[in-house]
Amino acid sequence: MSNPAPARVGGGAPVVVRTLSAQSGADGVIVSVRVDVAFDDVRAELHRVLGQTPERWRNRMARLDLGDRDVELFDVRRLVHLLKGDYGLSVTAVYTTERAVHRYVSRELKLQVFTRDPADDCVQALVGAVGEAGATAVTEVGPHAIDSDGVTEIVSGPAVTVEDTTSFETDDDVVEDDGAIADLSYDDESGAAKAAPEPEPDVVLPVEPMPIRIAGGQRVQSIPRSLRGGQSVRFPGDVVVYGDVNPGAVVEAGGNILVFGALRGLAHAGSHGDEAAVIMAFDLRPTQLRIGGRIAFQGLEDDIPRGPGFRPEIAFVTDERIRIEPWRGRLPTEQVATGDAPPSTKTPGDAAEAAPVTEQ
Amino acid sequence: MSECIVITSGKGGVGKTTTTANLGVALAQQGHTVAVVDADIGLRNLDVILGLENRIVYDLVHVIEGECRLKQGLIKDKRLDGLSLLPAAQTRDKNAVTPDQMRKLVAELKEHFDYVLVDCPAGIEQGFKNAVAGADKAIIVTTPEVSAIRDADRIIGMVEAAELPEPQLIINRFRAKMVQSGDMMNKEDILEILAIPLLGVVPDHEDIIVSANRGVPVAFDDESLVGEAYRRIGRRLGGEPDVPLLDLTVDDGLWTTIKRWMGLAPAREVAR
Ligand SMILES: Nc1ncnc2c1ncn2[C@@H]1O[C@H](COP(=O)(O)OP(=O)(O)OP(=O)(O)O)[C@@H](O)[C@H]1O
Ligand SMILES: [Mg+2]
Repeated sequence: MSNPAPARVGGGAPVVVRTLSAQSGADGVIVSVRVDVAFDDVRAELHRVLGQTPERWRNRMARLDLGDRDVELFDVRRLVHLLKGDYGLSVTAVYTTERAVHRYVSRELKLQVFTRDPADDCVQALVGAVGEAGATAVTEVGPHAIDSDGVTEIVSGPAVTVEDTTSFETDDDVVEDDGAIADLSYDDESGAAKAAPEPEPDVVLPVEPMPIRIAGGQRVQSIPRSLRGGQSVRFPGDVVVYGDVNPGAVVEAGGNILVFGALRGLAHAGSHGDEAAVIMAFDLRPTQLRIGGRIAFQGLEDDIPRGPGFRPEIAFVTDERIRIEPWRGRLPTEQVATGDAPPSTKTPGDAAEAAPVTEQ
Repeated sequence: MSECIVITSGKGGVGKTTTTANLGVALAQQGHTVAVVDADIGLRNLDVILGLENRIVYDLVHVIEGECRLKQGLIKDKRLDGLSLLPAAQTRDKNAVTPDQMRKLVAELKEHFDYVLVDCPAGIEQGFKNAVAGADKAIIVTTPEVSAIRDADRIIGMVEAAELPEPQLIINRFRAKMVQSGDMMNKEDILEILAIPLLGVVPDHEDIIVSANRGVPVAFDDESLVGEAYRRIGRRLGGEPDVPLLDLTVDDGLWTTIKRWMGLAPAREVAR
């Protein structure tokens, strides 16, 4: 997930951190990230800039200025999480440009996206445009916000500058610190639970304050036990379950999912749209599989052999559909680990060996 | 050392109350003192199955609210020394009691009895939270149906979340014939999913219905196969964990089964 750099900013420091002036009455900082800098360099730079005086940033508000950088939800989440986890800075807003938002929307929808003035009649405009062959005029978006899973607010428009501090309000946009942390929850649908005198949190598995390991630039959430019905895990990186995932349990990962046990519930890999993500399990018999935007489920007739005869299998997207194959000790060709991991497992000899064999 | 065991399932109607009553009888037959507690407030049943309905004066809510002493709320079973029932209130609902109150009540009961068995209501709400509040461990009851197993799985997760030790499983309403013909899930399939130790298997049998209607739990009936299933579970629970399960896997005709019963044919037992 590298960011093709729109040529906007030339040189200068990769990251600039500015403190808002005291007169504004606001307590906060603006973290500006240069558009053409890779995420890993941003992290190193943040460490260089903020790491010297870590106490200074604790419990303060921050706004993230991405300039015209591509809005990569995964990266934004990581930045938000990094700022919170390492420096105690709560990101309350992200500044980006209309163009970046527009690119983001068309990428997510995988469609050409035209923006127009709310007053226009769309059909009228199309009819009128028939004459002008192929003329696809794209107008700029108006001020425009995208809800990004409650991680943070993405605001288009010019970035706030230091002089612009009067607009820096800190009261109504505090971000809850749950977006990027693995979410282990019990979805208790009972109304009675709400009426209970002391609402106990329905968290089943203990969530460590920062259950995150950085491994080769990629984050992994390990679940050291089985997930039973009603339990779910949500995490932006890879998820590894050391146990079973039972029917009614849900694993949702931005990256890959590995189950060292039987996968009988629902698994959604590449949940931010990454179709290179894979799902692997010792015993793969899911209620439903999702990779990126694709869904596959077990047909009632598909009688998967049970018992000790099972072997590890891998599910991945190929030819626009989810395919399941026995695991042969390496990823199928073209499949690369997701997140920002390099395509390290791709070897030339793979093509011949990855002959499709489904023993089902 | 006395112990409080909650009998729970998630799904309704799978046999929690039947199990509680019969395990109460089985444990008392072994000489333990047992209190069975009906925590299904508003839908009390346990008293009916035990045939003690007409002796109820006070109930669990009265005890908790201090309207009577614990001793007055408990009904002693005259057929069996050591067995007592604390009935549920019929006119109140689950919110009449809090988990803290249940914890206190159970602690007091444990001073007087070797075993306190709590019959949990169906569901995952307040009634469940109350029933597990004072428990030291849980028994999960399921039938060999997919929906019951799903709910059992979910309840096991909640029992773990309540920081109770690993629960044990009773598979109820098991039908060997249907398993043999492939129309019912077998024990192994169920255990593979639920992944907890098996305490016992109880056959689906009309004796249960007859005994429930008479108010005499089937565990009293020495001749009944189901009664024997419960007695064995009672022994496995009450300090003889190696007592083998009843063999229900093979159905070689009614007559052989009856003979085996009467001691005329060798008993078949399955290893755990
Ligand atoms: N092994 C069995 N064979 C035949 N019938 C049974 C068996 N076990 C239970 N039943 C019947 O199933 C019905 C439900 O049993 P029971 O009341 O014990 O379930 P429960 O789990 O306590 O229900 P609830 O959730 O309503 O409290 C009763 O009619 C009972 O007689
Ligand atoms: Mg009941």
